[in-house]
Amino acid sequence: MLFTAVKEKTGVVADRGRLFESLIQDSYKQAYGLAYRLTGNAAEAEDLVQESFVRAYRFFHRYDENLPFTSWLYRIMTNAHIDMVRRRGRLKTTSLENSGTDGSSTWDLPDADAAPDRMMLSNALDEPVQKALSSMTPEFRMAVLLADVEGLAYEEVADIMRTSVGTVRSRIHRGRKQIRTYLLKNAPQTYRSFCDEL
Amino acid sequence: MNCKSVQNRLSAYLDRELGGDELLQMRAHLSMCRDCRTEAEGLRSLRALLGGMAAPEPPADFAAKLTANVLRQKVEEPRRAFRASALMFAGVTACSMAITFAVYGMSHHTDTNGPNSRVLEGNMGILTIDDRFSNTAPVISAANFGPR
Ligand SMILES: [Zn+2]
Repeated sequence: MLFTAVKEKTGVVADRGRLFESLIQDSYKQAYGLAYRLTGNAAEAEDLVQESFVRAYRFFHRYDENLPFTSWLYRIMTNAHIDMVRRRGRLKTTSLENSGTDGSSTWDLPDADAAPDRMMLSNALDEPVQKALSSMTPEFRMAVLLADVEGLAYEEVADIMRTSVGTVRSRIHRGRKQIRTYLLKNAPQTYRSFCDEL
Repeated sequence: MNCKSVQNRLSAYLDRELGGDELLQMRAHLSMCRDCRTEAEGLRSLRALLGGMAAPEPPADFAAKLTANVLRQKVEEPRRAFRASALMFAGVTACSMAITFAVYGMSHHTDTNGPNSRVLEGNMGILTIDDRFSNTAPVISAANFGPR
């Protein structure tokens, strides 16, 4: 396994380049997916992935061998993302006032009779979910994404975020409730149709 | 467990992160309480939505660009840094030995690795603190050369 190769080669600078080529090949898609959900747009996702791999590459001798490589990369990405958000104050994509005056919104289904399937509903909810994520604090956003999109256990999330399982539990729960509240407010028809399809 | 504490644990419950008494009490409450079951269903749907979303795909040339940009980076090499500080240490040690001899002359015994000497690691590498002369201030044999 690649993880074993990583462990064997930790600290061997000469092999670092070759090792990183395969590490990047192995994990860049997953890392990009997470980075996109964190930042809400392609340009910043690319920057965040690159920044994370660069830090991992430069400081690879500090790699914590108790973690799988992707977890370590995500730990670096968490810090890089929080740095970025704190520096800028907020995310570029954050714009929560998308509801029209009549309570309808940009993303909601125009026609409830269209009866689209679950996949289409899920696609239609992609943008509002992204907006809801962008409205959260980076810590809540990261916890929800690691658990719900990456499918990690609370303990793994806690390891990555260097916090307690109790904190992770509360961030995930409150984060999900924030997203649900947001969807019920901004895309109520689509979201209810999605829930009914389940 | 009351409704509030049940609802606070619903995410953990759905994620199978509960065990023991907590889990049994949750199940018991949910089997009796419709409000909490409804709340659980709502969170289950949201969880399904988040878990089922399509993963955003990177552009086709991203991997190549990323690899090139990462491998171009300078690597922090701990070994080279260590060699540099070892050289520095040798120089500093020679220097400090001279100072020690000059100050205390030959009247003191010269057991440099005695049980009372301890070694500290600092920014500059290694500092040795010799407290054989513990009735006076300890002699720090690598003086404060270089940046902190
Ligand atoms: Zn209840």
